[in-house]
Amino acid sequence: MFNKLSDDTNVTLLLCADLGGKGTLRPLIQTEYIQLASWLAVKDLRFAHLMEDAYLQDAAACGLAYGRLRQLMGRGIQLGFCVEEWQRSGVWIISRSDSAYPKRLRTVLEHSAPPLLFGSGHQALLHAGGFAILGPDSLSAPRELIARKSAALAACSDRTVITAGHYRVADASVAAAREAGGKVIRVLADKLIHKSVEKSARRAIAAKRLVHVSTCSPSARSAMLHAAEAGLVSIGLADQALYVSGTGIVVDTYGSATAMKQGGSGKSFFVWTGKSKDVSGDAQQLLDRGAELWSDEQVKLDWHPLAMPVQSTDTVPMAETPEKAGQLPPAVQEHTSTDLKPKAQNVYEAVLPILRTHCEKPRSVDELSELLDVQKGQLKKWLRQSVRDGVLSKDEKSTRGSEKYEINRQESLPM
Amino acid sequence: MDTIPSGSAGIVASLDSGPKTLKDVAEQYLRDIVGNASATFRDGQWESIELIIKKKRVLVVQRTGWGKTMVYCIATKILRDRGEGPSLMVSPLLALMRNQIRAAESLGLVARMFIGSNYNEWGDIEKELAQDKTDLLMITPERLAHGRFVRRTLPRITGNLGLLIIDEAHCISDWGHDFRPDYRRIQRVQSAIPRNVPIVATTATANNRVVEDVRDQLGRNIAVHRGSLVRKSLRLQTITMPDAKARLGWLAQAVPQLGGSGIIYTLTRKDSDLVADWLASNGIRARSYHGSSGRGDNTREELEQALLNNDLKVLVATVALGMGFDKPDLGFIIHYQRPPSVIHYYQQVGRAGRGIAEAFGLLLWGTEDDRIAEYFMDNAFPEQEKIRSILAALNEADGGLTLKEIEAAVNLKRSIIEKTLKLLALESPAPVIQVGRAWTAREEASDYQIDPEYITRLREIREAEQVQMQNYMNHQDCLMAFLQTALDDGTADNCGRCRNCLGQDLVPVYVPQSLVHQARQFILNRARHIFPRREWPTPLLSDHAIHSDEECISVGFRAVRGRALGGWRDGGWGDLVWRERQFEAQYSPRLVEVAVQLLRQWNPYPRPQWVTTVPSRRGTQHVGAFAQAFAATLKLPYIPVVERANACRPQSEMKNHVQRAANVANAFAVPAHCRGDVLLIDDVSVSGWTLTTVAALLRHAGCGSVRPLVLVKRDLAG
Repeated sequence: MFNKLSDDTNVTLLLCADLGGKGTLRPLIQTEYIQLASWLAVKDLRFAHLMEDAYLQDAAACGLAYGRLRQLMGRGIQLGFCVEEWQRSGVWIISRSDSAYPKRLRTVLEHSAPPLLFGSGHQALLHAGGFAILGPDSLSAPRELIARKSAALAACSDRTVITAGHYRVADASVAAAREAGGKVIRVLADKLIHKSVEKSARRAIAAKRLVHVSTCSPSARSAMLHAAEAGLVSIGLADQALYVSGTGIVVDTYGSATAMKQGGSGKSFFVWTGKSKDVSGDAQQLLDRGAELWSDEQVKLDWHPLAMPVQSTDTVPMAETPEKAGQLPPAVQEHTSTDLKPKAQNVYEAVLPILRTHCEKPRSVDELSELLDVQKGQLKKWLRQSVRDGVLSKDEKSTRGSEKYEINRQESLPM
Repeated sequence: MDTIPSGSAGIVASLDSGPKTLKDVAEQYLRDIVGNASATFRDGQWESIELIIKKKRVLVVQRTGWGKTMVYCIATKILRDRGEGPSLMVSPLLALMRNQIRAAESLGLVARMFIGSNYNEWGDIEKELAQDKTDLLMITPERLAHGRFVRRTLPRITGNLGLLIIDEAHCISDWGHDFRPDYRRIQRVQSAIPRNVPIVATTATANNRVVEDVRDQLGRNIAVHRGSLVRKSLRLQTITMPDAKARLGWLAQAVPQLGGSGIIYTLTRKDSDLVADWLASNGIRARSYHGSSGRGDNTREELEQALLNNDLKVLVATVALGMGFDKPDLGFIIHYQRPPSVIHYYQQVGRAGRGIAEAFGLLLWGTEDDRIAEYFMDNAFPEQEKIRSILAALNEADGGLTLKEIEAAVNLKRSIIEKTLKLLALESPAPVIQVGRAWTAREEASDYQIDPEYITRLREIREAEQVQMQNYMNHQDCLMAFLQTALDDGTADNCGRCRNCLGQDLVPVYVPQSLVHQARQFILNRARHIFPRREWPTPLLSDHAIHSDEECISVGFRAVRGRALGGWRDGGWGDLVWRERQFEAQYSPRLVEVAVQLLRQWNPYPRPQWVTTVPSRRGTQHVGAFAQAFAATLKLPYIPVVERANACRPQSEMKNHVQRAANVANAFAVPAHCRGDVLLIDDVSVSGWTLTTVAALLRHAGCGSVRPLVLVKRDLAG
C-alpha cells in the first residue's frame, strides 16, 4: 500500500519540510508559510497552483524570494525518495489542507498551527482531545511519580494522555498510561521512527492506542531546533493539561509552560507544585494566569477514576483574548461529566472499584463472596490480580484459607 | 520562445525555428557523442528529448543499440545548459553504468557512480554534488536500501535534481523478486514525485503487458516511444543436446570456430565455473563471471574489460552479466541452458552483433533446465512459516536483532533470512525496518501474511514464460519473428537469416565421441577446495579454549586449505559417494584410488605425517575403513584420535552457519596429546564447521598443520 499525497500536500512538503542534509537551502518557517498561505488565500489559489512556475513567480509578491521558492520547489525527486522511505517506515503525512488535519489544532493554535504533521500510529486519536501532562526536562522521582499517577488516572477515565518529547515526564506518563491500557498521543520533535518501533510502542500502535506525531520530518537533521513546537502541539491537541512543576531554575526543552500560556485559551489547566515553596517561575506564571493547583490532598482524595478533574463552567480560561471571552471552544463543550465515566475493558476492570469499596477494611474471601454474590473461584482470581496490580494488599500473616484483603495503603502518593 | 544559454559550442537556440533550433543543438551533441559529423537522430530520439526538456514523462521502448543513452545524455546536457540540476539515473547493472559514463564524458558531462564498491569515493562525490560539479549521478536500485544515500547524499545536491532516469524500466513491472527487488521501491519513489518533475524510463524488452504496467506506474499521461525489435545482424539457431557432457564437448569444438569473442550464459554459478574451467582446459581463453566472481566489483570489471579488449575468447556468465554490457563487435551468444523467458533471452542474445554485420545466437538446452527453473520458481518467495518464525523472533526483541542474532534465533538459512528480510522491508508499510545494523519489527509484523494470490499469479506467469521458451526451442519457422511476436512487436516478419529460414544449421551440431569422453573425465576429476574458516559465527560458543578468542579463530587453532573429491551428486565422484554412502556398508577401493590420486596431484606442503578422521555420527564404518585403506596405500599411520563427546543433530538439518557451528561446538573431543602434520578425513562436508571444530581441537591437542580431505562438499547456501 502506498498513499499518494495530494498536490497541495506535496507542495507544502516541498516548501516547508526539512528533507535532511546540511544544505544551505532553508525551508519556509512558520511565519513565512503563513505569509504565503495568506497571499494564496487572497488570490483564491491553492498550494497546488505553485507547481506552475508562473504562479510561483507571482507568489514572490508575498515577500518571499522567487529564487528560494523555485529552489525549494525543485526538490521533487528528493521528496519522492523521502516520502517513499517515510511511508515504508509507517510514517503518514498530513498537511493543513488535508481533511485529516486536526481541526482543534487549527482552531486553538491559529497561525501557529504547523503546516505539516508527520506521524506513526492511530491517526484518529488526534481528533479526540485528551489530557496533556507536561513538565520540564528533569524532575525528582516523587514528582515524576505524580506524572505517572496522573497518567494512569486519565487512562482509567478513558482520557487520552498527551505528552511531549521523550524526557522523564513524557516517559513516565506514557508508560503509566500504557500499563493502564489507555490511549496516548506522544508529540515528538525527533526520533519519530525509532520511538515507534520500540516493543511497547508497536504493540500499542497495533492496538490503536498510540499515535506519535511530529512537526518535523523524519529526515530532518536539526529536529530539536523545533522542539518547542512539540509542547505547543500537545496543548493544541488537548482540552485539559497538567504542568508538573520542577523546582528552582528548570530546563524545558519542549516549551511546555510557554505552550500552556500560548495555547491555553478555553482549556482547564492544572499545576502540580508539591509541598515545596520553591515553585519554578513558569509554574508560578501559570498559577497567576488562573491555572488550578493540583494539590497533594486533591490527588489523595480524588485518586479514583470517577474523580477525574472535570472542566467546570466556572473555570476561567487562561490568556483568553477579549473577543473570545465568554465563548467556550467546541472542544471543551463536547466534554460532559458522563464522558469521563470509566469505560471498563473487561469484567475485572468493572468490578475493581466495587472491590476497593468493600475492602476499605480487611475482608476475607468468604465475606466478599457473600457480599458480592459471586463464586469464590472467580473472586480469588480477581483478588489475586488486584494484589498484583497493587490495588489491594493481602494479609501475609494469615493462615491459608483465612487471608484478608484490604486497600493497598501504600498506593497513596508519596508526599 | 524557449531559449537556452550558451552551451559548450556557444550556441543560442530556440525551440521553434531559426538556424540554430534546439534540435540543431541537440543534433550537434549527438555528433559529439558518436564522433560522426553527419550523424542524425533516429526516429523517436529527438521527440523523446524534446518531451523531457519540456518536463514531461517519457517511456522509450527500443531495441538494444538503438541509442537510448543518447536520449538521456543529450537531455541532461540541455537541462544543465539551462541551469537545471544534475540528472539521477537508477540502473541495475554496473556494466551499463561504465558505458554510460563514456557516452556522457564525450558530451563534456561529469558522470559519477555511487555504488557499493566505490565506498571510498563517496565523500568526494558528495563534495562534488555540493559544488554542482556533477551532471549525471548513477546509482543501483540497491543503493536506495541504504539510508545514507537518501538521508545524506541526495540533500547535498546543489540546485536539486533536474531529471530522473529509470533504466531497464521493465523491471518495474517484473515483480522484481527474482531479479532486482529494489525496483519495487522505484515504483513508489516515482509515484511520490510531484507531477511537474520530468522522468524518462527506458527499456529494450517490453511486451504489451509490461508497457501497460509501466504506464500505470509512471502515469497514464506518459508518452510512449516504441520501435521495432528486429536485429538484422543476428542469426539464430536452437540446438537440442540434453546431455551435459555432449554440450561441453560441442562447446569445446564450436567456440573456436566462431568469429570474434562472445558470451556463454549458464543458469547457475556452478555451471558457469564448470564450463569456463572446461573450455580453459581445452586451450580456449575463457573465464567465469557471476555474482561471486573474485572479490568485489573490480574483478568483474576486469573480466568485462578483458572481453571488451578481446583478451578473452569467451566469458561464461550467469544473468549477472546482461543488461547494459555493451560490446558492439560481440560475435556470438550461446545459451548453455534455457533462460527463463523470452524477455530474458531476447535481452541476453541482443548483446551480440550491435556493431557488426553478422553475429550468432545459439540456444542449447539440457535435462537439468526444468529442475533449475522449478527451483527458482519454488524459491522466489519464502514460505509463510519461515516468514512467521523470523517475524516472531523480531517481535519478541526490544531494540531489534542483527542478522547474526536472527540466525541464532531461527533455524533458517542465512540466504532465506536475508531474502525474507529484503522482501518484508520492501513492503509499504514494511513489517520490518532496519535501524542501524539491527532489524526491528513494526506493528504490521504481528499479522503479516504474504499475499497467496500474488504468488500464484506470478508463478503462473513464470510457468507460461517457460512454456513459451520451450515453444521457441521447437519452433519450425523464423526464430527472430517468434521473438518479435512474443514481445508484441507488430513488425515481425521472416528474417531470412536464422537456421529455420535457411533450412540448414548455421553451426554444425556434430560432437566427436572423444570430446564427450574427455568432458566426462573432466567432470569426474574436478576437485574442490575446502577453505579454512577464520571466524566463529558468535562469540564464546563453548567454554573450551578453542572458543576463547570470541569471534576470531586463533591462528594457532585454524585448519589449512583442503580438498574435496567432488560435489554432492555432481554427476562425477559425488554421485558414487552418495550411492555408496546410502546403499553400501563401506566405500569402494575405487574411491580410495581416486583420493590417493588426488593427494598425489595436489602434493600438499607440509606433507601430512599421519591420518585421522571425523568419527561418524551414525556409527557407520564408512569413513574409518576408507581412511584406514587410504593411509595404508600411502604408508602413513592411521590414528583415530577424535572422539564423539556429545550427541548432535545432523548438520544437514541445521540451516545456517550459526546453528551449525553451535551444533558441533561441544560434539567432539581429542583426549590424546598429538604432534606432527595430519590429514583430517571426512566423507561429507556441509558447512565446514565440523572440520573447523575438529581441526581446532587437534591443534589444541598439539598437532602441527591440519589439512582436511573430504569426499564430497555439499553446498548448502547460507
